[in-house]
Amino acid sequence: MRFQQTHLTSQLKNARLSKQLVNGYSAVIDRLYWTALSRAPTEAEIAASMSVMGSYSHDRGAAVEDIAWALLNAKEFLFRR
Amino acid sequence: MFDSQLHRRSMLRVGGAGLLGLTIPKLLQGVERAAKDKTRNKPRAKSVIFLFQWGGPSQLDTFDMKPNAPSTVRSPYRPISSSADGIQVCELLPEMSRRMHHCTLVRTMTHTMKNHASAGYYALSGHAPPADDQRLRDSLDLFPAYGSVVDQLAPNTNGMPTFVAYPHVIRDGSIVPAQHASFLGKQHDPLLFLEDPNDPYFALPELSLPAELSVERLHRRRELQQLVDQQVRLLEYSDAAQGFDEYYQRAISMLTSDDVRKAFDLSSEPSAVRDRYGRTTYGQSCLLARRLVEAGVKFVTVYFSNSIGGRRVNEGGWDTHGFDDTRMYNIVDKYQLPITDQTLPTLLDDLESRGLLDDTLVVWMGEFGRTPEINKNVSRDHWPQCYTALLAGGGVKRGYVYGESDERAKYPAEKPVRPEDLAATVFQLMGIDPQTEIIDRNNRPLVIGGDCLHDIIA
Repeated sequence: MRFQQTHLTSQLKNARLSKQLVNGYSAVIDRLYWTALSRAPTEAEIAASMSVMGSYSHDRGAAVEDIAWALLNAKEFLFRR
Repeated sequence: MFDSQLHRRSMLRVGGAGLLGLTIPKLLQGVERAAKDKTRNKPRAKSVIFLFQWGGPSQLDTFDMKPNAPSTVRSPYRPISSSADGIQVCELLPEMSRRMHHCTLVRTMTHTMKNHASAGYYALSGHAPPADDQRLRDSLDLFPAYGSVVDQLAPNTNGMPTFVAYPHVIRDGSIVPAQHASFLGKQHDPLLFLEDPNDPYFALPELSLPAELSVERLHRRRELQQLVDQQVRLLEYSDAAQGFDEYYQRAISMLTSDDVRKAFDLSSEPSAVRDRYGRTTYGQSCLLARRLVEAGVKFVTVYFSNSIGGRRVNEGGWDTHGFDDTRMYNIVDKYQLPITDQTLPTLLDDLESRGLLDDTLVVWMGEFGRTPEINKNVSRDHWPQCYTALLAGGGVKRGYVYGESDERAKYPAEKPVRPEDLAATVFQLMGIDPQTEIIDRNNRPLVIGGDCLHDIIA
């Protein structure tokens, strides 16, 4: 189970992110939302996610981890089917 | 349908850190619990400290001396009078003798399980095992630990864990059942740790965040999670999501809580206090028990030893048969009795002086007593038919004896008490109706206790 979690997180983190980072954070955030929740982020979510991105100047991977954590622990991910 | 999904998802834990046994289903059962709360009585004991004397202490050499029995039966130690009228205890428990006015002795504990595993299970669960078999295997069909039942029926709401057990998992060959939640589900398992409280670097890894996860970062994650939760209408799955926020809040608050971390910080105790409890694993475990109760933990189980012991003077429990050319009376006088006489009186004093003894129930007992007849090794074997349990505080009478054993402490002369009756009394004192039923894996409703000993309640 721990493996599944780690696996999913690293998938989210590594899904050709370096290329997407070049295209801008919003594409990364968009991709995370579609992967976890099968929907686009709302404007409020984009703003909040961008702010998480902004709080890490060097370690963007950490920012992605934080966003992925929030998505994987959201009720929408846990309970919706 | 939700069940399997939730179990799969219960892997998701804050920061990946071990979460003191908390899982999502625990909070999802909140509604069920609220209904059960109606069956609760007014508690006399807010907390219980259960000091389990693994191996089986001799009733005849501790709290049920029979000085007038023949020399083949009576202890080589003499009885001494105590601070309670009419109660005598072993001369090797002089400090304890001065605290007996706090205590109730139940001298007629009785059952028929002669093996450590089956008797241990009976003592830790209040349920007779299916057979008196040393090969009794731990399984989810067997009854849970008392603390897990408390966690199911009357869980803490103060941010502290309900049930903490340490510093051993007891076994005699295989692991003894009833040290965890069994069929109640893992969410009711104790916060269990095996770190030695007597270790100068004692600390719990479960209470610290992983190095890469700062508190700020944890809160940042939580904020984003809450934002995502606000984005969608949750009505369609609100039942399953019940208690979800509280679960995360509780998990995060435990991880970041000063209260929990402070409770486990034995280094903040004055050296003199630590010395009084005894610089032993058991001594420091009992000091920690007082700290946990003070911080609001409801049920603390301290195991005296990890093994039944009985052959050495520096480790193990009370199982002194005289095997391997050892002799009981060259062991208990150097190890089990001195440790007991240092630690138990100190715990009672400490609870009393902090005003905690009135609502903290201390239970001291083993899985059985020992044979009245001294064996060919000048020692004693297993004897479940009659033994003594000591209780103090938490609403039990002070300086009281319940039940009288016969002239050799071989059988109860009156008022026999089964382990389920003692369990019922503990639940009753905690404000939990001992007739409450819990549901096992086959959907059978099982009553948690036997007949409460109303007589010992003050």
